[in-house]
Amino acid sequence: MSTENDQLTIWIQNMRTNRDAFAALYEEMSRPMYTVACRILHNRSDAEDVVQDVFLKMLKTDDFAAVGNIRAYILQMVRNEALMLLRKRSKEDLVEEVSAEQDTAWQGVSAREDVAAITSAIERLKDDERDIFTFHVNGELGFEEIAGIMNMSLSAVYRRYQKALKKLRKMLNGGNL
Amino acid sequence: MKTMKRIRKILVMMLALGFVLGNAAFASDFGPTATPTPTPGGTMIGEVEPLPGEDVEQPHPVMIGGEDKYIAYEELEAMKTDGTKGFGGYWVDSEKEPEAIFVGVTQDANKVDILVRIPDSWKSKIRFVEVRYTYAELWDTYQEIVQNYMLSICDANYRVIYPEKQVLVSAGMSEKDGHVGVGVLKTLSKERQDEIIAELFEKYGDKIIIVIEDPADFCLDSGGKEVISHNIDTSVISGKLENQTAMTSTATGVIRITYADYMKKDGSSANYTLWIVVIGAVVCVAGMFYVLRVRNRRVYATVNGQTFAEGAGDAGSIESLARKAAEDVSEEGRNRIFAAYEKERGEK
Repeated sequence: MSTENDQLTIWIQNMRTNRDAFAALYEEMSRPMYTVACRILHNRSDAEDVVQDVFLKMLKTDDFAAVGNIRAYILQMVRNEALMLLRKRSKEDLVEEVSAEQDTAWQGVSAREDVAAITSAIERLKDDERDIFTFHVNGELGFEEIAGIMNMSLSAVYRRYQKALKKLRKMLNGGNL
Repeated sequence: MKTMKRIRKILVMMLALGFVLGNAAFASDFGPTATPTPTPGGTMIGEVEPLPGEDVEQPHPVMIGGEDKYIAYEELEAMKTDGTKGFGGYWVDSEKEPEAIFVGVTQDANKVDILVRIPDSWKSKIRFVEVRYTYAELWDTYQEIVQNYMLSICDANYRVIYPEKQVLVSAGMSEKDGHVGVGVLKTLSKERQDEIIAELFEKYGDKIIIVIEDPADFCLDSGGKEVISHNIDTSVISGKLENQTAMTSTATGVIRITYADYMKKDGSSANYTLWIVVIGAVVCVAGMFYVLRVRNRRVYATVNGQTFAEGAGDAGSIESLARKAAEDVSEEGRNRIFAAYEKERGEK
């Protein structure tokens, strides 16, 4: 963890002056950041905005050395930005959009190995279950780190993760929630 | 990431193992055979303590004086060996009551049987003191120790012929204190001292008190019987003394260990062991919890009728599928982000 953390810290500290450092940080973090944002916002364009905003915020932040876990910190920033954006948007618009996306994706459940199926299944999880699942699987965060981000107890995070898995398993096997 | 987690797991296990082993190693110095040392609280007595019998003015077996007094001492002396029930010896104590004769009696002793043998004029001088062991019991203990640990390494002239086997410096019986004082050689290795201390206490219990003594000190007194004394380097003298002698051992700075001290140490060791067990159990439970958590994280998932272990990297697992389903920023999005970066950097 510390080696990865050190590497991330170095990239962040150097990205103001070194484009390669920014590029390396982007390559490492953009995918989990975008995935987390997408799962919360259900909108690619908005998710890209959030990722961009977070990168720019990192550029402006002076001291990352004091941060214990850079990866968790960045993903927490993404989540916060995404939730803020979510609050700005009207719920009706989002529900409409999500439903449309889900319908399209869920059609692929017959071919269950299709990643679209799991994407759709993940989107049908409850917000906290989906976030925990995404942080853990796509963000590669441990449950302790997720508990910190979500402001939950470790056991609560773990229970929700198990619940999410159970639901996903059921959905992927053709069952209903 | 996975490698780091594995390293973390190994580190946790190593720490737990180190902790348990460290405790065990630490505990080994507190075992029942550890050499007691003086402590501020004072379970071990490190202050100047009179050695057994040292400050006791023993009654002279052949007293000059009236016939009654002579008879009284003769009778008391005889009681040591004639099987008088519960007789624990006798002594005088010049500080406490110089004129009195203190007679040790065990709980089952018949004081009347003792008093009836004392002339009337001396009956009033008798003070009974309850003791744990009879004179005969202490005498047997004393004899056994002298025989097994001292005479066995001496020649006919009580000269030490097997110095390498010597573990005791002195042995002395104290009727007043109700025990046999045993001087353990100070120059023995700590381990050997511990062994001897444990061995003696296991054999004789609270009939003895152990003193760690310097080898230059003289040994012993035998309560008016045969007296052997030797200097470890030079001469060995033996003979019969008419007067009883107190032990000649120096009492300065000696460490005296009672059976209670030994047991307390043993008990504290047991307490410590208990702590080790408790801590060990906690570490085990924590370890099991940790293992279970890791194990549980690898929940088996069924996809398409097949069961896959999560986190095992299986392409069919839910987690693997979810990883495959991770979203990538579009090319346009990437360009937009890099353009925003360049702009921000340029402004700075």
